Amino acid sequence: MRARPFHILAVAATLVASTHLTASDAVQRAVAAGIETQDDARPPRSPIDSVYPALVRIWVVMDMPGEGRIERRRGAGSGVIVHPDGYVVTNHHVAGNANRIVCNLSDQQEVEAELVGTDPLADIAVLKINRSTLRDPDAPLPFARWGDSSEVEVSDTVFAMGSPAAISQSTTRGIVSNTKMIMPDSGGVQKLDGEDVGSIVRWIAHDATIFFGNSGGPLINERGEVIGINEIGFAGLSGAIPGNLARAVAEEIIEHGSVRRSWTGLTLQARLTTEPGRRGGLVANVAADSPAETAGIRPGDLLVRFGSEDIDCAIDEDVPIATARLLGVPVGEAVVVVVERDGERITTSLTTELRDRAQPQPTEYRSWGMICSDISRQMQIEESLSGSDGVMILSVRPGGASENALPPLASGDVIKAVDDVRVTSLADFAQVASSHATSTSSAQRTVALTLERDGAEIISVLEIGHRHRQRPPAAARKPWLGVETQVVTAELSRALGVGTVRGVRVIKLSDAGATANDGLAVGDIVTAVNGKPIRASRWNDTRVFTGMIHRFSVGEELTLTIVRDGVERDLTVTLGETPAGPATMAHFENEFLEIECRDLTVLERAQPETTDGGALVEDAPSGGWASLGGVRRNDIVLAIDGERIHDVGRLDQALATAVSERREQIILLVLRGSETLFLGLEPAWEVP
Amino acid sequence: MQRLILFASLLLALAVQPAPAASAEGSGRDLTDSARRVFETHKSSVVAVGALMNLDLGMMGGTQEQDVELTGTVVDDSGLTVISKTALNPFGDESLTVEPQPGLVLEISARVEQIWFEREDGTRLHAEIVLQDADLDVSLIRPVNQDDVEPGSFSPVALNRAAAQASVLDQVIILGRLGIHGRRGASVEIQRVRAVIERPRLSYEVGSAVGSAVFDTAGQLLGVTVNTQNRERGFDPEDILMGGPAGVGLPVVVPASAIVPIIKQAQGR
Repeated sequence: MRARPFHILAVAATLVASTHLTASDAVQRAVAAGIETQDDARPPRSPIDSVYPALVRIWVVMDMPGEGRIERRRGAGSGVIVHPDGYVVTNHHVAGNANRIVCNLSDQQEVEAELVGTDPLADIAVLKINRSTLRDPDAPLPFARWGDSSEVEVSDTVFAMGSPAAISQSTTRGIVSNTKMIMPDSGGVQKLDGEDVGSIVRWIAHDATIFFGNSGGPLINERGEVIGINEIGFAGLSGAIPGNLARAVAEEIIEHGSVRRSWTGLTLQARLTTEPGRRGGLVANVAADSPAETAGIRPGDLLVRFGSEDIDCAIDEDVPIATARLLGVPVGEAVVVVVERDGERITTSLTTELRDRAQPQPTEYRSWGMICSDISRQMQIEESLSGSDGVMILSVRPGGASENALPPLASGDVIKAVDDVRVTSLADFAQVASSHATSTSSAQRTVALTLERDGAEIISVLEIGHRHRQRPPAAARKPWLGVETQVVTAELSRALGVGTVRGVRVIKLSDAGATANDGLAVGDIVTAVNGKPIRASRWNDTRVFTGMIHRFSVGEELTLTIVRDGVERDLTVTLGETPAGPATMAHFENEFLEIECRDLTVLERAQPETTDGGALVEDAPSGGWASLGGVRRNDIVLAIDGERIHDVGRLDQALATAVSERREQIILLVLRGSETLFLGLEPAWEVP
Repeated sequence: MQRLILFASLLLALAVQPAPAASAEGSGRDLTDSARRVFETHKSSVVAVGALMNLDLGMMGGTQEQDVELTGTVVDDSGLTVISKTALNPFGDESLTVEPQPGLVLEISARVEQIWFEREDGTRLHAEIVLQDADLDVSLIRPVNQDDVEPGSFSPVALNRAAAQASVLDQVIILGRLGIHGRRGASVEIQRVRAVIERPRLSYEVGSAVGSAVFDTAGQLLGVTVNTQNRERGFDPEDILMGGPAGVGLPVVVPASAIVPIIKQAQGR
């Protein structure tokens, strides 16, 4: 049921080809001097000059449904300001699911923006720049002008503008290769939030290089007008959503916040025969209980007229245009439809209904271990459901309550009731879930869910509540000498010039084991323990010596026979105990930032950078703010916003302060391996 | 996709156990009867354990979660159970860097998210790892909430430091659990000790699957099967992924006498 990942650009796309251009120096100077606006009397000197100032690089943090969890991911794309009020057009797949949006303007300003509305079917989203975050909130914003994409012809010169791979604003040049590019028929359907990508879009194909990150950027003509919004690429061709479609969608979003479309229940395909003089689109499918079915239209009919529009789908490239016409009539309008059946023309009428989003907003219920949503009409049709009542499970979290239910819940299940409470919508379910919310992290509640699965009604029992997570386990306490050794092989004895001496050579002494290893020195060869020879002969036999030590007890005295400077001697040592491991260290978790840390063990404090302590990251789950900021498991946090972190207690305080102050950015200095680096956490403090 | 293959390869490699060397030849009815008695007496001591692993592939693309199935041996009434540490988490407690193909460097770390007992009735009893011993390749788990443990629901094996010992070609009785497709049913087989390994510590190689409990013909616990690796730093995932000679290590029986002190530590926690 979940939408497949949307591959923005095909892998065949290559990074920055030789046609790669950047804005002219003149433009850059002009930009540096101040934002150039459309009101300037000075005419632009190139098509690029007129659009470049309006070009926007977009950074987002978006919600991505995963396995039973909505994860936050970083993303980047391109956009163009198309209105003096700061409206930016981009792709839905760039920013449509964003909960935080930051834009880099062409003059290097970094500003915040909000999502005005989005349309997954056309893959268009509209943002609005937050003027208060501009350097000069009253300064006019540059904007680009729309051109007429219906005038575009093959071989026209075009420029693709945007931020490939999220690098700064760039431009490539090419020609229009095809004005009617559709999704290649490769046996599948590419979906974006449940919508069939390409069902209403016929792309302007061009050979100006675009890459990941160009999505949402403008395609402009030689007059400096926006004639398309780059979206997709395959087989070396780039594809832009025609400007006329993008503009119509954007304007409706700016005016209404969303796009309303009509639903008829008709699916069209190209005609199977090409007899001369024949026209119309072949009706491939008529949805049950749809306006089209009510109007008596059947699969196999040839749709020749829809309202005032003649329909003709001679080839596959005609279908998106016809489909867009069907969707484009006003919602609730009675439309006169003419179909051809068995050589006869039949005139009928249908009244369209509001077309809902293919994939309603998914919602995560963490203690239930699932993501679910309302049921759209399209989901009902695709899953052959008995109705749209209930809540559909989109995915379950491995190891979560839903997967552990008996029987386990699965994606595609429809929740009809919780215990005795009927559930008809997500709002109902949210209310029930809220009433079952447990007050403590360990509390569990048992519920019975009535589900529809493959047309059958089943009941599943699950325990909701927080998952018990395993902390790093404690290590067994063992006798410890506090040394690291290497085996003295035959080759090594010859190299060392110690003849036939066998045993292990001390290569490192641990400060933490100073009591136990007192008297030993690096370079000593230990040949026997309490008179018993160390029978290690291969280089990887180091555990033989450890195994001998482990046969004794903590605090026990041993006599080690050692060879130092060629002289054999006995040394008495008292065994210590292995230092406390991670499990016994103080632990800290910040649920908002999604980071778990612990104090450093004695051994972990052995590095020069950690002698003053630190906090080791035990977990920074993918999709959390810490993970988004680049924090990784086993990083050692050394400082936060310049304040030295000695232990998790200090870390707790520092993060609590940062969170309470809602700092725009929290800078962590971490030690990763042997190198330090700075990481910036940028949480959205008010997540919708 | 690559990471899925990576992890799948690893799990597959872990699942592959050495084939039994030779079935017990005609040892007479006495041995068979003895094995049946051991089976009836101790089959409940060998339990199915499940775990949810969280694998972090770093820059390669976040994390993924994966179920793992194990076999454990119950050693006390509270449900304290011995499992193989590397069978549960072959990556150990630290990040590992592997290069499965030139230029593809992966930094892998894994942690146990959840662990549980798979009860006979199909329900799960949540557990936690109480203690682990990397040297012995042993982890000890126990139910999280003792209130969930019905009296008598765990049937421990008898353990003591002077437990059974064996010599090469001695016959042994191995108790195990079938996987999910065998409804995790109890299994038994008779084998011979194929090798006695003395270093770095005593262990036996009997062709048993990791997690299985091994008894002598008198019904005394010889030990439990874990992995051993003769290397400096233990398990090396690259060895598995690249088909190296060491693979996952060698399943061996660690003597009960070696485990007893660790069990005592765990019981004190």
